[in-house]
Amino acid sequence: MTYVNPAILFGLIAVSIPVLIHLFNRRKARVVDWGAMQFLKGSLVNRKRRVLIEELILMILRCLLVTTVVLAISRPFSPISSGISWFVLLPVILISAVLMAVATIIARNRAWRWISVFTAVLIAGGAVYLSQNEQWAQATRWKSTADQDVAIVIDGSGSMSIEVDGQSNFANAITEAQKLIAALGPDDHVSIIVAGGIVKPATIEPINVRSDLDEIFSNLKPVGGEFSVIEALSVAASSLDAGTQPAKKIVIISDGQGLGWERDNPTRWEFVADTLNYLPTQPKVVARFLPLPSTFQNACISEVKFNRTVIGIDREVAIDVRVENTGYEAIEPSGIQLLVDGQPLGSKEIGVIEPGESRLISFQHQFNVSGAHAVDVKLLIEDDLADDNSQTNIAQVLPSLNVLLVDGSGSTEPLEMPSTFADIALTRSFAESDDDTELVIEPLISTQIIAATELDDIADFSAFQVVMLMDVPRLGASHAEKLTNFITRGGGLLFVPGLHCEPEFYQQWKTRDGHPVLPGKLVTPVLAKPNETKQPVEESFKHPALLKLLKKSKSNISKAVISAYWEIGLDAALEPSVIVGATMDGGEPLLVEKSLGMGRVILSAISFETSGSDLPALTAFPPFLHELTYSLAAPKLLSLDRAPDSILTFDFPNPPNQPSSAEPSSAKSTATESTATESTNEPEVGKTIAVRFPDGSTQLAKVDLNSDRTKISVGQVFQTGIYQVEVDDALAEQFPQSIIKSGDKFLLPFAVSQTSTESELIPLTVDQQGFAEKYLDYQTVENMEQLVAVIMGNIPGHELWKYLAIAAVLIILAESFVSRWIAQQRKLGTVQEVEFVSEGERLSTFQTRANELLKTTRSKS
Amino acid sequence: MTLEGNQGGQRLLRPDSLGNLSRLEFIARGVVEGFITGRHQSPYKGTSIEFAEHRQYVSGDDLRNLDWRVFGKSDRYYIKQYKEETNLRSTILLDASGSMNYVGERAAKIDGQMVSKFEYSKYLAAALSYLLVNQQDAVGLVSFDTEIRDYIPARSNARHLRVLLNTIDELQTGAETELAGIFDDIAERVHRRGLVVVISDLFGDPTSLIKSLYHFRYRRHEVVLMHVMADEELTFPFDKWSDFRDLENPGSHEELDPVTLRAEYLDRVRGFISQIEVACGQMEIDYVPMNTRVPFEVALSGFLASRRNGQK
Repeated sequence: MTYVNPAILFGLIAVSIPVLIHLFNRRKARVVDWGAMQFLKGSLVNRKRRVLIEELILMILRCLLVTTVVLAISRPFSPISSGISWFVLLPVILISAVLMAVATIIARNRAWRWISVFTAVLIAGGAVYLSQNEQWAQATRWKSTADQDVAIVIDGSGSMSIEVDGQSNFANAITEAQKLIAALGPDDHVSIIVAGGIVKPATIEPINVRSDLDEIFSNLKPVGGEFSVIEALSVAASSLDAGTQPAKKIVIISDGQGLGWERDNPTRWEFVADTLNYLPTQPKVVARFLPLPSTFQNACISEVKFNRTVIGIDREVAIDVRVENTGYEAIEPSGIQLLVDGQPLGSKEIGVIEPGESRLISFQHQFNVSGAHAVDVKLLIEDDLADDNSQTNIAQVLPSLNVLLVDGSGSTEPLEMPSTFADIALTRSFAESDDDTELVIEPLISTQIIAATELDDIADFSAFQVVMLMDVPRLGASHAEKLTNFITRGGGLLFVPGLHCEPEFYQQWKTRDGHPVLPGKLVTPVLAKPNETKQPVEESFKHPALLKLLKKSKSNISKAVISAYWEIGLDAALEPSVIVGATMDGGEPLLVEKSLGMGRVILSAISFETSGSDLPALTAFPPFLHELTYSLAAPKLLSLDRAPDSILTFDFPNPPNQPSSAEPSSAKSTATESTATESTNEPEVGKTIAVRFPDGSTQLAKVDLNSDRTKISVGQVFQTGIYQVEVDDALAEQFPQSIIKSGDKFLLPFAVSQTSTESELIPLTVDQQGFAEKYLDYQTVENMEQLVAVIMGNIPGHELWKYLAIAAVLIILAESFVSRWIAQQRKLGTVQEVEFVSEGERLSTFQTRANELLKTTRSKS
Repeated sequence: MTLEGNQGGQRLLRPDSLGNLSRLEFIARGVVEGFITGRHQSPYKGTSIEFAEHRQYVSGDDLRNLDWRVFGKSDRYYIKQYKEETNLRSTILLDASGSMNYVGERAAKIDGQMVSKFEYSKYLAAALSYLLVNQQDAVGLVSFDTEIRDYIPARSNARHLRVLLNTIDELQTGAETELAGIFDDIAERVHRRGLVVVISDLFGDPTSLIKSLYHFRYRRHEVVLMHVMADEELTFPFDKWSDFRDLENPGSHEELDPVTLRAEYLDRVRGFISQIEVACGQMEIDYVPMNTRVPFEVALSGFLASRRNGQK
């Protein structure tokens, strides 16, 4: 606490006025030689304590009155980050005034009185001294003499677009920023940064041309998403670094939305603190929070999920949409609409959703055309936050799913070949019973069956999404490597062992960098005795494909009777990517899966022949194999549903027939010689491709073509909606399910949606700002005036004189009330006189009065 | 204010007040054994043989007592008076306690100086003595504070008056009063029924005071209670911090703001007075409040007038 007029504090001496008056009165006490002591003493005994208390109350009130008036005139000031709070100092001064009063009235003797008065003066003096110290410290702290670079970070998160009193907080923030700039000196430079889910610097370096700044403000738009504070601070730091002024400051104007303050990430805060410390002077970070709206009506689409990752044209896909009420009141959206490629495909009712509740709405849709499709879900409601009422996703619909079945059984009898059952299961139509409807599934999958010896005929596996090795004794070295490459580029391998397998070989099958390809070791084939057959344990099912099966109520997968299986050895320390998808009775693994590069490998413990188990004969077998196939094919899909990002990239493996593939065939190598020579040794740089943004603009994306991977960097992406990347034929061929063909161009679409976390208003707490306070020179201000004060080098805070003035008025009222009350108690003015006259006198006065009365009545008449 | 001893008791009997008083007569009320000569018929006749002195004839005197020999010589009427001639034995009890010393600022002035309650009482006592002696009544005097200080048995001759007046004049105030005990003591000493005049501020425990007054009544004395108080004691007009020093207990004092206590004080005083007044009414004691603000001769004549009226 400090004072605007500290000199007035000398006026505190005036507290001695009531004290001195009291003491003077006592000093001046007239000596009365008194006879009627017995009445006096009697009264005194009765009233002394009470009188003392009354006098004490009056004296306290008077001393407090003088103190509060003097303090009010001295205009105490509470800086926002007070070294010593007014909450302590003011009471201390008031208490010393009270002490003074108490000493005056109660102290038994002069020594005590003086000691108390001295203590009171000492305490008050100490308090005043501390305030002065604070004044000095505050002045030093906020002093700003040099010209400065000010980075204004405006929160552009989703919540800033909510309207409070008819205007969005974003617009309010711009108004405050403009006011702040208007208060700055002519040589102060300003850079403006808008930060939401991504951070957008509106100026490259701090500028001081006001017209340019106005221009920038008129074009500012919120970017949506969560306010990424740390990133914003880093951008502000680099912007300040580009500035030339000696002093640096960062202003954050946000609403009190708590998201984005990364309470659980101290290392990031430390990092940003280090970044700020690199500046010539450590910048002061000042945060101003606009009020969050008190009413908030909002529904959001928190999740859109396809029930399967691999979508074919073969069957319907369920689109599950979760609608959540993140507002403070119950809402009733008029419906929810599904659009595919812009065509409305129907809408559904939702009903009333209570705050905090969510509802799951499911749409069914069958895609007829392969390739990428935009799936829009729109919530039909007008609420405070419009951004989160729709979401766009890209459905990648596979034209076909090619599976290579490699049969190593060496048999020619179809029923002894495991591939036969797999082939039938995968390609024949089958009835899949859902809960209430029976669906006939037209298989998407096309298979090619070859014997293990025919592997040489397959130049590469890129034509297939999934390869199934069935009872293959061993692989040739080149096949093994090709297959490894196939997997690491995103292919799926289902390994089904049989009697012919040579476990030693598969134990040694490793990738170039030494990782085993199979998720577990084939140890030994086990032939169970007739009474010791095993069954899959439903509770152990962890693999998503199996879990999907379990959802079908009529699946009999767990009824399978296993009489022969391979014992699978798992490393004690499992690789993190290895999961045991299912086990049999006794805990033996049934299905083990691992990720390898971009692909996946599933190892089955049982063969798909009828001799080892009755699984292939069960009705559950075709769906089981389908789900496994879909699951294995999934990694080949590109991730096309994205959140806003400052650098959005796509990273995918090159097709093996590209010159960069591991073993380019000589014929193709010559055909594409020109590119091959350039790209095999060093990355191709500088190549760009066009990207169409949702708003219709076209920007260029950078393409990095490495030896085996291609990386497309789209750069900063914050608009929500569908983006389209123009890709070449080769990529279109590699990812046919992810491409839209438009005329002769191939477009790779991707959708950007906001995360739904911003849909909820979570007030920012002091605790959440803990790291900012710990690592930065961080300060929050309560209003615009304080913000300007901090930036201009004045001490920010608020004055307290009003409270003191109110207190003084109250004390005056209390004083007059108490004195009146005391007077009433003492019956001043209403005291009845003591009658002390003789009967004769009484009589004579009565007579004279009667005579006078008589005279007056006579004269009147 | 002190009285100068060499001037004698005469000083107390100021000519103006005496002149005033001599027109008035002290009339005892009720059945009293002795009467003022001439005015009342005494149930007893003076049978004393021992000549005491001559006295001027006043109309109404019994002609039998006229000293014809003197008449023959000087052609003046004198009455022969004998010792123990009259039967009204009056005793004036004069309170000489410290509290009587209170003067105040509103007291009546005598010789341009304000009188303390004590002086006021002394004047009263002197005037009464004079009156009574003048009426040939026997007057005794007891002054007391914690104990009896002077005890002059009742006599009625002129010399006795001088003794009385001198004694009164030389009286000084002493310590605290304890009226009750003293009164009991005096009641024992004064055997013959008569008039007891108490001049005091009566400070002390009123209950025991009343009890000892009853003692006088039991002895069938007629009691006149002259309650002398200063106006300040009755109105407590102080409004500034004051240091009240106890007149009866030097060294004891109370520093206080009188305003805070006024109501309570007055309540107490009122209670005290009314308690005594009521008791006096019950015991048929003549209660005479005397405010020192009222000049004592005014107060005395008022008292005497009321006595006379009461007699009629």
